[in-house]
Amino acid sequence: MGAVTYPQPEVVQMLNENFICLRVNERSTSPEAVEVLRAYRLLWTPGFVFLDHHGNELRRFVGYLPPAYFLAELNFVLGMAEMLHARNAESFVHFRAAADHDPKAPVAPEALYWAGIAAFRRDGRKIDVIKRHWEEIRARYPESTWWTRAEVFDVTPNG
Amino acid sequence: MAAIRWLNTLKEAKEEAVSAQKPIFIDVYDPG
Repeated sequence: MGAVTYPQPEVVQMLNENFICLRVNERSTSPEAVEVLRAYRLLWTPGFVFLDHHGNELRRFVGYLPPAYFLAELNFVLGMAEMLHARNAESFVHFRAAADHDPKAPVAPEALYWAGIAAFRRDGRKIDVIKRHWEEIRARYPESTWWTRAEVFDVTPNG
Repeated sequence: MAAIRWLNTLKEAKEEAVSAQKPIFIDVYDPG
């Protein structure tokens, strides 16, 4: 991450403008590092944890991601942070950005799933709204587990 | 060249997060 993803200007801007960033050396024995390592217990490095400003965990994952996929993850986390505080319109914008930044990003189908939920809550809980967004998961990612989860609503056009 | 602004302590990060109303991103890395 330090060699490829973090130096990328769009990543720098996204992190500096939208997140408070903390970096911890897994091998450090300093009290400050040990506090983080014990609190979040990541099982592999690189390991990433995202918290909202109250300290609620929003997401975690391990492993290198190239800049485009990492930016999609960052947008996803911003969507989660907004949704946790019932800002559904803002949440929807971030989930759509996570889905559209790079259609090959692994988080894209999950982002479409949550974009549907954000739109559903934003637009007065209309079931047609969630169906419209989840149909996009079927169209773009029919093999995705997120389509499996959405399919239960029968979002096909005549369903 | 611009660089990511990394903090070193959780206390500092939590205080800034509350003040800025922004999420916290924690990267745990192995220096190799």
